[in-house]
Amino acid sequence: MHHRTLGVLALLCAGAASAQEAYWTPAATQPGRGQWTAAVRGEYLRYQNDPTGLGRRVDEYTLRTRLNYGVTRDIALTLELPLYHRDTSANEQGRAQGFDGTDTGAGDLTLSAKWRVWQHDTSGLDTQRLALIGLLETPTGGPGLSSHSWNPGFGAVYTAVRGRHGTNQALTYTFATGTDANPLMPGQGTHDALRFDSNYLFRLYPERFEGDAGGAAYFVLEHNGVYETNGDIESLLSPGLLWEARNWAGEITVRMPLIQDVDRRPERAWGIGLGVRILF
Amino acid sequence: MNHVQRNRRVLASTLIGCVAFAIGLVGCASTGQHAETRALLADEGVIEGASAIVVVDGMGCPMCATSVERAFRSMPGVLSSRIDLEEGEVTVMLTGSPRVTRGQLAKAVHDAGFSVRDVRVP
Repeated sequence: MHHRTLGVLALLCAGAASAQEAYWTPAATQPGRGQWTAAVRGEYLRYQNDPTGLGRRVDEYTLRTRLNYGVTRDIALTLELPLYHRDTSANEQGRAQGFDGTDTGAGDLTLSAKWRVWQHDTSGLDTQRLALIGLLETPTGGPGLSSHSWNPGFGAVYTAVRGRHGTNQALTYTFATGTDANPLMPGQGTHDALRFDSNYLFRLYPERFEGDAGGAAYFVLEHNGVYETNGDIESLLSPGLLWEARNWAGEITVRMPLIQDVDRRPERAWGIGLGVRILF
Repeated sequence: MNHVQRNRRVLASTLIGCVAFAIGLVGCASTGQHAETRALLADEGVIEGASAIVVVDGMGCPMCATSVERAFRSMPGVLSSRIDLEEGEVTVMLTGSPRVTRGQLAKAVHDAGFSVRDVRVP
């Protein structure tokens, strides 16, 4: 089927001063004052092992667009809109409730603000940054693709670079105000979600930047988890590679389940992300 | 131990591990150069030469260097810039008209989101 070819996508992304941001994990980096950045990424994710009795199995293809604006050097605003294509199969009970078929369209729009409250630069490369995040998920998505609720949230993210090593650590808490008893994604039902994201980057090449540094290759290892207030918890491990040049970057990542203990929605199984960022 | 209690313990262990990893990677922070940046931002000394070297901290990656270059590119009085990412030094070539001050160069870097340690004439 034609839409199956969306399984692996190479898409254009534009970004500046956000290169230490790995694929799935936020970073305390943002555009400078008065600067705009835009990014687009393509993802594939499989949901399966539905414990709710509905037997849902979902192949989800996502085109995620993000627009950032630097209000000041320390405050940035972000607008993120996902476009989904979901193929869902279900058992007889799930089909009777309408949980099978194909859904294509926009998901919920998320507005967020990032405020960098602390920054400590100690050398040409080395830096530590801490930013606070406020966000609002809005019910703008299409049928079958929306939580139908306004979900506010807050969080913090820490970024550090030291020589060839880098790390991002993020915590985000989202208040779920919806009424969906059978959500597909965490935090879109009736229970709040605490996301804990962590990654490690190691610069494979070059060992030392020479001159203006044409490009660099990184190994990236991410751990992304979510705990919901109904007791569900899951975490995913994502190794990947990142090549970053002065004006563009290419990245590939594979997502694998590490901990899966969910009773109220399908498990997120394996996934893949493939993207190309270009600085305009 | 029930399902919820077990998962809360997993969550706590994971969060503690992440914090410990971040602390171990970064180590103890030394005193910063915020005072240096503030002083440079207020420096109205005009640069007399054809170039200046701006010492920038916090450019963790090649794209960060591009951000700094773009900040200088948009400045009146700046012809071009060249960055040594490892050393954190930006050599800024000046047109001479209009004259550029140390504070203006420092502000360009500061607004781009990085720290300025020094502005000197080679």
